[in-house]
Amino acid sequence: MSFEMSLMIVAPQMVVLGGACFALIVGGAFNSSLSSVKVPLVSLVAAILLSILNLGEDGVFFNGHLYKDDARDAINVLVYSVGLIWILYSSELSESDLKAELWGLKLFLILGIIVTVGAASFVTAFMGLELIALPMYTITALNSVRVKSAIECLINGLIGMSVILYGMSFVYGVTGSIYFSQVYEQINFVMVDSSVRSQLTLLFGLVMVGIGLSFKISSLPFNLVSVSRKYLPILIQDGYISKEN
Amino acid sequence: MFSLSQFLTLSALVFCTGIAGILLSRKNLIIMLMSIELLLLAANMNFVAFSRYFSDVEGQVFVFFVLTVAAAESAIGLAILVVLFRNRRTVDADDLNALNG
Repeated sequence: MSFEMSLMIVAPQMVVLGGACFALIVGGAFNSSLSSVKVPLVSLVAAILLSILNLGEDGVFFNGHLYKDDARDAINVLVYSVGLIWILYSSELSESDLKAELWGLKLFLILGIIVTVGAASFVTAFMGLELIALPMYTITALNSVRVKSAIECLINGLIGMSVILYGMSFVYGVTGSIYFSQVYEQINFVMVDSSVRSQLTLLFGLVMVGIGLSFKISSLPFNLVSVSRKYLPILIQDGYISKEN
Repeated sequence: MFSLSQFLTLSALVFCTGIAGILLSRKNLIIMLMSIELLLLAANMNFVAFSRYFSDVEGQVFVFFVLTVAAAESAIGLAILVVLFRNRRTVDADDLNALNG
């Protein structure tokens, strides 16, 4: 697959990224949240149109880092549409909740979801998860009343991501690849034909990834050792919405 | 010349130090952030060690991404910490119970 073809495939993501950067610049320059709300709306509509134009071209792009198939296309259009509704809905918020940086951060969050959905390697999965998490911490901290919640989410998320990375490093060490398809093949091979030492190392890595993901969303039983010691929230943002809103 | 197992042992020690830092210093958020950086460094060390063992650059490229994101995380974390300190005049982790169920 040529590089130009790969660029065409990620055109919707690039439009959203450009919109996010432009929204941050416009928000910073004019400090007017209501005028900069047009930027995310335009970029999301353009992303939906480009996604529909790109329908049907399946494959692996960017040297195996990004998947594209019909299911992911449908999810992408759905995420962009829900993001559009979300931004339209949040433009009705009270003036104290509206900050100039809000729209750019929300676009980054939507971009993170899209990158995670299309991830085909550890690199894109990591970048996608972080693109979701970092704007979320910042959006939470934009309101001074919610700073405590933001720092709790941040600490939980950072510990979780560190453990995930440590597990990923062992999976990479046993399988020798960071691409999901090759890792899957190697896991099947290692579990059948390889030594007990390799099997245990691989199992340790996979368990660490699972623990990190569970810690990141504070699911049972890791809610007991996380900073906020929540009881049964499914996602960090669920806890944030239920307690702070 | 160091062997792979020596690198992995060192990274395990760094990781355990980070975990101990998080568990033992629940009073101070800045120490917790520093301990989390140790956890990330341990993972990076593993990636570089395995990458060198396989003579494969993918792991080292991944480390560059991790380092970049870790810097962004630290910047955001410290910025939020400054705002928290302005509001509450404390960085005590025990005071953080806004999300308790």
